[in-house]
Amino acid sequence: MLQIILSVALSVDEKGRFLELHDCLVKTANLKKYYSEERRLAFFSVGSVKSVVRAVDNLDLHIHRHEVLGLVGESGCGKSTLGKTILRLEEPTSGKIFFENQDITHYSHDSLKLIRKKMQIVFQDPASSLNPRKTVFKIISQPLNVHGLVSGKRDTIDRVADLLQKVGLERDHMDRYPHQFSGGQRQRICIARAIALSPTFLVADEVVSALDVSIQAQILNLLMILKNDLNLSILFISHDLSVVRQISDRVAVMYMGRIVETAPSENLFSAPRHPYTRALLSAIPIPDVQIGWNPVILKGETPSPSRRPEGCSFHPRCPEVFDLCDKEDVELVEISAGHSVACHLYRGQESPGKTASSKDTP
Amino acid sequence: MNDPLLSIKDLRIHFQLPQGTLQAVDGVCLDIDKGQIMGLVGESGGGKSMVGLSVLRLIPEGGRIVSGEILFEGKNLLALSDDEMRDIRGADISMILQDPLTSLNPSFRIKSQIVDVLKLHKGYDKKEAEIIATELLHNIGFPDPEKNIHKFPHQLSGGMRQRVVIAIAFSCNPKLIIADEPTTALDVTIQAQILRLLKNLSQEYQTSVLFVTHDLGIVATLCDRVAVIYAGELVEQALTRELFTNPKHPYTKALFRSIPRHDKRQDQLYSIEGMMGTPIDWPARCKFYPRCSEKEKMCDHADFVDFVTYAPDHFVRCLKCR
Amino acid sequence: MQIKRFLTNGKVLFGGFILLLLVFTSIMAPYIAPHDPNEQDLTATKMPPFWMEGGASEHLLGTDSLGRDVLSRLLYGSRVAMFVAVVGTFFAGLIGVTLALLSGFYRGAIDNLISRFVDIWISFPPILLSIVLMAVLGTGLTKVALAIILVDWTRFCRVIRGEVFNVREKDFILAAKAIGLGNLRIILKELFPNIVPLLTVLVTLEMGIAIIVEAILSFVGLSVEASVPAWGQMIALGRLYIHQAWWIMVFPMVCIITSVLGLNLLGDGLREVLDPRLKVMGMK
Repeated sequence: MLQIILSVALSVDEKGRFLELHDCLVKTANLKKYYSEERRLAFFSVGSVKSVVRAVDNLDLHIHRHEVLGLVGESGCGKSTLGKTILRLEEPTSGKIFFENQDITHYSHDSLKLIRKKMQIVFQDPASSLNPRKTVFKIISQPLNVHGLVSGKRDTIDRVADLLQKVGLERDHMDRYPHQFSGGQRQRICIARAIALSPTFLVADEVVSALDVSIQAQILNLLMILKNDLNLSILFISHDLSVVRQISDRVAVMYMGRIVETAPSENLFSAPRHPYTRALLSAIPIPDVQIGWNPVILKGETPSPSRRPEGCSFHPRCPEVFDLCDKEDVELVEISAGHSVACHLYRGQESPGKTASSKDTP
Repeated sequence: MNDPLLSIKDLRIHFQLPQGTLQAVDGVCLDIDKGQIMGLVGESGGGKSMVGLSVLRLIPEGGRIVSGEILFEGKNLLALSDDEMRDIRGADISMILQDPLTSLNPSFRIKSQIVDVLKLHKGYDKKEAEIIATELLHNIGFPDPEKNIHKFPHQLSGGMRQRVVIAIAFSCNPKLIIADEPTTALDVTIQAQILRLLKNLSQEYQTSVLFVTHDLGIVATLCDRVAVIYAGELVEQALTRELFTNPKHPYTKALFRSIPRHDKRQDQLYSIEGMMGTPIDWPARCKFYPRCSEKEKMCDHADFVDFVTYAPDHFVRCLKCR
Repeated sequence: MQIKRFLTNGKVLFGGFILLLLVFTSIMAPYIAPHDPNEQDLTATKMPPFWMEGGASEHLLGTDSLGRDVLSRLLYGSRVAMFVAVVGTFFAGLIGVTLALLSGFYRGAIDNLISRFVDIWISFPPILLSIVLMAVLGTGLTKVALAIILVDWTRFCRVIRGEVFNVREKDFILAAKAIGLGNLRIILKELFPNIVPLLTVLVTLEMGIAIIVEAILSFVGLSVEASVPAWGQMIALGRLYIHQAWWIMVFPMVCIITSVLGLNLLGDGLREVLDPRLKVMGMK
């Protein structure tokens, strides 16, 4: 309890900062999650090299209430790690995480437990997200029991049945085991478990990536309904831009642990600014024969996360690279309402007096 | 008009399960011409992978080819002996699978894996094969082949591994390549590189490709002709342009409606009611009937639906398209 | 869960039957044994089994060199075998699994510590170790069980640790953490139930091993006291008379072989029943 009071008090250090925190449900400031590995140089040698994987690298992010923020990026960019770190399922290396204006970065297990009711996660792999030895009833009732939200067996059964119905499943599904369901149905069970505690924030980590197209559509529609009915904010993590477009209000693009562009959904897709975003969008094959496919083919591949290039981390592959790019690192700056880019091409185009880390809501 | 390079006629593959007979492939007819890229589209469980595997007679344990023929340059592959089949695999017909990590042997360097294939089918000696392998990797845009050819698969990224797999597949100038979801496990920017590569190689060597995928976007950009498979049966087949502008089968139409697109926003994604399920001992009638939004009374009564010619080179399996 | 699948697997049925038989004889030995196993009848030494020339129905499987009834001794011997198998396996499992769970779940320094400890312990040759332990601890049934526990816990630890690593990576463990479950509850309620199939197989295997180890120890006279009948001891004594009275040695051997075979088949069958069930269901 003391921690909660302290964190609210401390967030009132600058008047401006307090106001802007007030609008956001979730906010990160300079968040870092580094993994370090020690590798011996040779089999019998004594010396070793420490390689650091910067999964999340000095990241500022904010998510408003009732908003779906799509977080896109290719494999290894750190988006999954970011999702887990925000929920404190991974411990941040440094930086801060704010939830409902409270600094939860260093909350103890007990304080965190209170917060956990309000932030939940759904994972990608429906096969490994559910304990194969438990019935659906046990799986969904567990969070209810842990937080003392139900009293007695009858009450629990009713609540579980209600949740199953909300996700489009039947009451008598609760006595079955996960392996008796299809991938899409299992994802629904995962969603039911996640919304059991009535969270205000949901992290959806590649939740439809393992599903067939027609089932994807079902789950996406379900998420959109739940978002409206339950006033949820969703951090929708995906590598699939087409899916992200359907569901997101705003989109952030990640590359090698950093955010390179963020904008309202329509703006990002119709007028992408960052060369990476442009290449990414152009690479997606469109199911339409009228529209030609002219992908911007990027040079090489994403470098190993432990060897971050100098300057802008994208410069070795960038089709529009110029001499500044390998010397100076980039910062995320706002170039128009709600649209921020981290790229030297837009130097000098910042909206006056604002950088992304101190901007107001659009 | 030349004979097609590959002609699958009325292929049926069944699995005997404790629950009944799984009709994984149930009467598929498909033709691929020389130099043509044919897309085979469907969802998981629909049978598309099985069709691809059956061409090389690599069906998993428990599967029986109950009937049908697979004619390759006029010869029925299903009637060949094991030795004859082995000569064809890797040389005349190659395969590219989905997961590049498990397609390559983790215990051997890249070099030896390519060289082995060249030695086996083309009879080169080690030195010649090495030179050809390096050149091959160069041609397909593999970075720094002289150095990287000595690496092990796990030291390479997914995209590079898939390039190696493609190099091995093309090494003996095959006439046909079966590609089973080769880019599904890759990032979209790498996928773009690989798709470009496949298209160029196919054009350069006049290699036909049977491209199995669930991604209609890939089909639109890469394939000359498309076949749509559902529960083991082809439900529609046409030239790509024709299928995309004038789809006729309700399943094809539903698929198009349920695909999210990044170039347009849809208010709500259309989703097909229900699930395909597993085709075990299904009755002989329209397989899409339970989920079809355009069904009519006659669809329930008919106990067989033909694959008919709706328009020149456009076939549909639907009673409403007679 | 489906009991039927267990009952239709041949190995499970056969092995299960053997196990039940063992349990039955070990409990009921005092009631069903025709004679006192230590009762010596010097007038009827080395009598052959009843179906042979010179045998009698009084001693169905014959007598040994001191006139003791072989059948009764076998039945009582099963008590030793069962005690050692059950107690030894239970405590070896308890220690091994606990350390494995801690090692696999927490990883890092705890895992390093426990793994090194196991490595060192394993490097002692098991049979020698048990012999040394017995020499130090002295003879007696409980000491035998103790020796087995001290030697075999490492097997549980090694194998289960690997499985814990597997299960630990699954998303449902992370989901439990996300709900707010503490580590202890996650280990006991989420992780442990998923290693039970492997553990079951390991337990049956271990019981067979325990029986053999006990037999070896009693063969070298380092097991139970001479007054307690044990199969290994019977073999040791019977060895001297193998040409004159083969049955003294052969029957206890058959008992050991049957018991171990039965337990191994049970383990094999359980593995078949418990694992593929999950795979078949998920097949397309």
